[in-house]
Amino acid sequence: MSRSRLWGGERTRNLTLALALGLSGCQSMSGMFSLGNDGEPEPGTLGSLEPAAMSETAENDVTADITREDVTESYRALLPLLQDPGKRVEVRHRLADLEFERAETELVENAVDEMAGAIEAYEDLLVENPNRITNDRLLYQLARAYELRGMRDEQLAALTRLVNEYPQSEFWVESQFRRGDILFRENRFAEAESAFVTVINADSEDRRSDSFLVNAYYMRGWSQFKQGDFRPALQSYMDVLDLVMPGDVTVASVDKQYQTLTEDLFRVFGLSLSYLDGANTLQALFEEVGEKPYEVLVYDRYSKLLLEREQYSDAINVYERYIESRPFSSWAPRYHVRIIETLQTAGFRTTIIERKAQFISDYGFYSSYWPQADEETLAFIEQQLETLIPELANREYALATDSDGESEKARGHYLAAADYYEEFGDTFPTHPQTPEMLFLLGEARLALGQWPEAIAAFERVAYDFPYEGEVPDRAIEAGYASVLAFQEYAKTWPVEPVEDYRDYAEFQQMNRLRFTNAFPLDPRADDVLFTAVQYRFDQKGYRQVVDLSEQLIARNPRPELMAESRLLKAHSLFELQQYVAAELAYQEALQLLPAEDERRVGLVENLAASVFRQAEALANAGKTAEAVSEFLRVGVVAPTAALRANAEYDAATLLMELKHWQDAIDVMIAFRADYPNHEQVDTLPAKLALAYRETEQWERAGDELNRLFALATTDEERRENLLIAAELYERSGNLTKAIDTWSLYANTYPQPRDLYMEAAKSLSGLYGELGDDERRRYWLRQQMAAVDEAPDQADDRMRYLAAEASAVLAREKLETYNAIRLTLPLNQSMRAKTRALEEAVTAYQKTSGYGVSSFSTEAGYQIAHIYGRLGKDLMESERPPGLSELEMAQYEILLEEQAFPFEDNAISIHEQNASRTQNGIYDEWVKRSFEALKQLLPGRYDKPEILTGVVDELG
Amino acid sequence: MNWVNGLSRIAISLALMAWLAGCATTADPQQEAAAAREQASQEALQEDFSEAVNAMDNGNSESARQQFESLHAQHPERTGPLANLGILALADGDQAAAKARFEEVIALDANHAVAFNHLGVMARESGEFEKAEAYYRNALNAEPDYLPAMMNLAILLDIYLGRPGDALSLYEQYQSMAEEPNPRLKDWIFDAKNRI
Repeated sequence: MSRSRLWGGERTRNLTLALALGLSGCQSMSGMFSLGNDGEPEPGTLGSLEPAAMSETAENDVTADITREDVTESYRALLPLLQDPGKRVEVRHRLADLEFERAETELVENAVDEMAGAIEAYEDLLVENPNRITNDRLLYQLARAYELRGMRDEQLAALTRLVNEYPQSEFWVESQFRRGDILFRENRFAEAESAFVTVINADSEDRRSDSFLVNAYYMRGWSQFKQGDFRPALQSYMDVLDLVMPGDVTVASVDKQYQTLTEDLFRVFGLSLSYLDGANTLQALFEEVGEKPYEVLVYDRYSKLLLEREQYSDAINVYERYIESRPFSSWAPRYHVRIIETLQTAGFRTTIIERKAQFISDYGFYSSYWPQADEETLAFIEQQLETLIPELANREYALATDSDGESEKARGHYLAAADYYEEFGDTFPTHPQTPEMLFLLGEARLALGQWPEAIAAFERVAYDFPYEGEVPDRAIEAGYASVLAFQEYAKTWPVEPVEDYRDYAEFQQMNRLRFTNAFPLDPRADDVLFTAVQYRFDQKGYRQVVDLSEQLIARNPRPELMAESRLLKAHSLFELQQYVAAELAYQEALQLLPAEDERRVGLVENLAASVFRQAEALANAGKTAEAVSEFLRVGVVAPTAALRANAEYDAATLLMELKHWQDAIDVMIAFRADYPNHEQVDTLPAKLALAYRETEQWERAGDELNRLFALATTDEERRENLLIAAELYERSGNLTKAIDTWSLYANTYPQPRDLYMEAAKSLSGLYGELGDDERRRYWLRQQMAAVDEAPDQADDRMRYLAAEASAVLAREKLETYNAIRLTLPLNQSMRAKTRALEEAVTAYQKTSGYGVSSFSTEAGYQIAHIYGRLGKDLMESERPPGLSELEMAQYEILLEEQAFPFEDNAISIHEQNASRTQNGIYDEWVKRSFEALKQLLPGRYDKPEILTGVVDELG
Repeated sequence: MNWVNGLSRIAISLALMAWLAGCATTADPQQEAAAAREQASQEALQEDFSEAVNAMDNGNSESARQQFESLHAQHPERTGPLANLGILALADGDQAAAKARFEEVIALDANHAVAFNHLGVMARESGEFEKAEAYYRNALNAEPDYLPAMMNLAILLDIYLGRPGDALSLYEQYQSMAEEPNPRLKDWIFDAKNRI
C-alpha cells in the first residue's frame, strides 16, 4: 500500500476503476497543508480533502478504454438483478464512491458542485445500515465529501463518529488527525491538541499512522502554542525535529515533504521562545535535553527571526548563549561573526572592536579553540582573521601613533598592535600580506624599544620569505631596519653582563653580514659592511677582517670607505703577521688617504714595520743576508719612517753577524751621520771598532774605542775601552797613538796589575821600536816591579812577563859583561869585569827567581856560562910582558888558581840546570848545559849512547 | 787460551803426521818441486838482504835504502829490512820516519830489541825520559843480554834521571858481559858509586 500519498499528492485522478478490483482501493488524499498567499505559514491550515482514490497498484490494472461512466452504468444495471441485501449494499456503496469521484472531478475541473448526490448516497447507506461493519469507510468518504463542499461541522461530525464507533478502523488515526486539524481551525485548540495527542500515542502503538506523526507533533506544538503553553510547545517542536532531522543540520537535507514544515516549525519555535525568556530559555532547553543535531538551526532561525524583528540585542544574546553552551562547536566562531555583523547592522559600533578582538582571542592561532577546529571551520576562521587581524593591528598602530603625547597609552596601543601583527605572522606564515604585517610588527616593537623582537621581526621579513626575480623593496628595507634597530639596541648593552654583551655584539655582526650578503646591490650595504669590518677589527678577528674588507673593496665603495677598509685590512694583515700582504695593503691605503690625513704618519710607520717584520722573520729563519736586504728596504719603502733608523741599525747588526764588515761599516757610518741623536748611536763605536778590527783598520778601530772611552759611564768601562783602544792603535802601527793610549792607560790604571803589565809590556816594546831605550827599560822594570810588589797576586802570565822583562835586562848586562876584555893592568879590567859579572849574574838570578822554567834554565845556563867564561878569559888574558920563564910559570899558576873556582862554579851551576831533566825539563838551555858539561866534566857527561849500525838479521 | 792451545796442538800433530808420512813413502814429485822452489826463493831473499846489509855497511846508504824498500815491499812481514830503513832514516835526521819504521818493526815483532833501543835513544833526545826508560826496558825484556840497551839505560838513569844507584848495576852488568867494554867504564862506575 502506498504510504507516500495519504492525503496529498495528485489532487485528481481520472481513473476508471475496474470492477474486478473490488471496493478495497485506497484513498488518494490531498496535501495536508497549504500555505497562505502571503507566504507566511498559516498555523493550522489544512489541505483540501481529497476523495479516496485507487491505489497506484490498482491503477496499473485499469483498462484505459473503460470509463467511470461505463463502470457506473454496469453497477446500475447490476443492482436490480441483485437479491442479496449485502451485495446490494456493497454495489450501492460502490456506486456512491463512483458518484463521489465524478463529482470531485467535476468540482476540480469545472468548479461545479455536484457533490450532493454522493453525500445523499452515503447518508442513505448509513441510515439504512447503521451497524454495518464497514461503515467507517462510508464515514470517511462522507467526511471527504463534506470537506469538498466546505461543510466543516458535518465533516467533523462524520469524523468524530468514525473515531468513536470504529476505533479499529484503518482510518482511525487519519480521522483523528483530521479532526485535530478541523478543531484547530475552529480555534478549539485544547481539543485539537488532544486529537493530535491521540495520533501521536497511536503512532507509538501502531505504525499504521507513522506518516501522521511528524505532522501530529507539529500540530500539537501549534495547538499548545495557541493555548499559550509555549514551553510544552517547544518540546513538541523538538519531537518534530528529532524525526525530520535525525542527523544532518541543514534544512535542505530534510525530506522534501517536510521542508516547508520545518521552516515553519523554526519560525514557531522562535515565536514561542519570544514569549518565554528568549535565548535563555533556548539555552536552558538544550541544557535539559542535551545536544541535538539541529540545535544550531534552532538558534540560527531564532536569531534570524529576531533580526527580522530588529531585536538585535536579543539576536546577539542568542548567539552568545549558543557560544556559551557550545564553545567548541564549529558554529561558535560563525556566531561570533554574526554577533559582529549584527552589531554593524544595528549600528552598535562601540563594542564591535571589542568583539573582533574577542574573536581573535577566542578563535585565533593562540586560542584553545584553534587546535581542535575542523578543517572547514579553520578555513572560516582564517578567512575572518585575514581581515580582522590587520584591521585591529592597524587600528592599534594608528592609535599609538596618534597618541604619541601620552607615552603610556601609546605604549599600550603599540603592544596591542605588535601582538596582532605577530599573530598574523604566526597564523599566516606564508600569506602575501605577512611580510607587511611583520614589518609593521618590527616598527611597533621599535616604538616600544623592544629591540630583539623588532630585529627578529625585521629579519623575518628580510630573509624568511622567498621571492623570484627582483628583490622586494620591503625585504631590503626590513633588512636595513634590522641593522638600524641593532644600532639602537646596542646602545642599551653597556648595562648588560659582559658575556651577554659579547654574544649580542656577535648577533649584531651576523645581522650586518646577513644584510650585506642578501642585498649586495643596496647602496647602504657598503656602510653596513664597513661597520662589520670595524666591529670585527675591534674584536681582533683579523682573519675575518681581511675577508670582509676584501669583500668591501671588491664592491668599489666610495673613496672614503675604500681607504678605511684598505687601512683596516692592512692593520689586520699586520696583526696576522702576513707582512708581505700588509705592506702592499698599507701602500694601497696610503694611496687613497688624503694628503692631509693625520694618520698618514702612523701608516708610514706601519708600512715600515711591515717591511721590518719581514726582515725580522728572515733573520729569525737564519736567512741573514735576505734579512739585511729587507731591513735596508725599509728606508726605500718608507724613507720618512722613524723605524727606518732601527731597520738600518739592525741591518748593520746582521751585516756584522755575516762578517760583511765593510758593508756593516758603511751602514753604520751612514747611520751615525743620519741619526746623530738616535738612542742606539752610542752602541755603534763598539761594533764599528770590531768591524774595523776585522778589516784591519786598526787606527779607526782605535778611534772608535776612544769614543767608547768617552762614552763610558763607569770607570771600569772606561778602563776597558781605553785598553782596547791602546791594543788597536798598537796593532795599527800608529806608534804615537799607541804609546799615548797605553801611557794614559798605564798611568791611569795601575790596577788590575795583570793588565797594567800588558800595558807596560806594550810600552816597552813600542819604545823599543822607537829606539827609546830609557823608556823601554823603564817599562821593563815596571813589569818586574808589578810582580815584585805583590808576588802573591801574580799569576803565571805576570810572572812570565816579569821574567821575560828581567831576562831582556839581564841579557843587556851579559852583553856589557861580555864586552869587557881583560886587559892589562889586569887588576883594573878584572875589577870592571867582576862588577859587570855580578850585575849580570844578579840580573839572571832575578830572572830565575820568577820561577818561569824557560827563563830559569836560560838564567841557569847563562850564569854558569858567565862563570865558565870568566875562568877561560882569565886563562886567556893578556900576559904581562917582560916576565921570565919562571915568573911566567908562577903567573900561570896564579891565573889557574884564580880561574878554577870560576870553572867549578860553572860546572856546579850547569849541573843544577841539567838536573832539571829529573823534572822533565829538557829545553834548549838544559841541552846547552849538557853540552857544556860534556866539555867541562866529560868523565860524567860525555857518555855517548850505543846504537846498532845495521841489522843483519832478515827477521 | 785453551782454544788457541788446542789449535796449536792440532797443528803440531798435523806437522808430525806429515813428517812421518814423508818418511814412510816416496815424496810427491810436485811437492818436492815446490819445496825446492821455496828453498831457492828463501835463499835468494837472504842473498838480497845480505847484499843490502853490505851496501849499508859500506856506507852506500841510498843503494841500501832502495834495496831494503824493495825487500820490504815484497816481504812486508820481514822486520830486517824495516829496521834497517829506520836506522837509515835516523841517520838522515828524519826522526819521524825512523820512529814510524821502528814502530812497524815492533808491530811485527814485539821482541825486537834493536828497534826498542833506537826508539829509546830517540825518546831520550827529545826529553821523553820516562818513555825512553820504558823502551830500553822492553828491549832488555826481549833480550836481557842486549848490551846497547843495557848501557843506554844506565846512561839515562845516571845523568838524565839522577839515579846513579840504579845505573851502577847496569854498568857493572855491562862491564861483565861486554867483550870489549869502554875503557872509561871503570871511571863511570867509580863516579857513580861516589854520587850514590
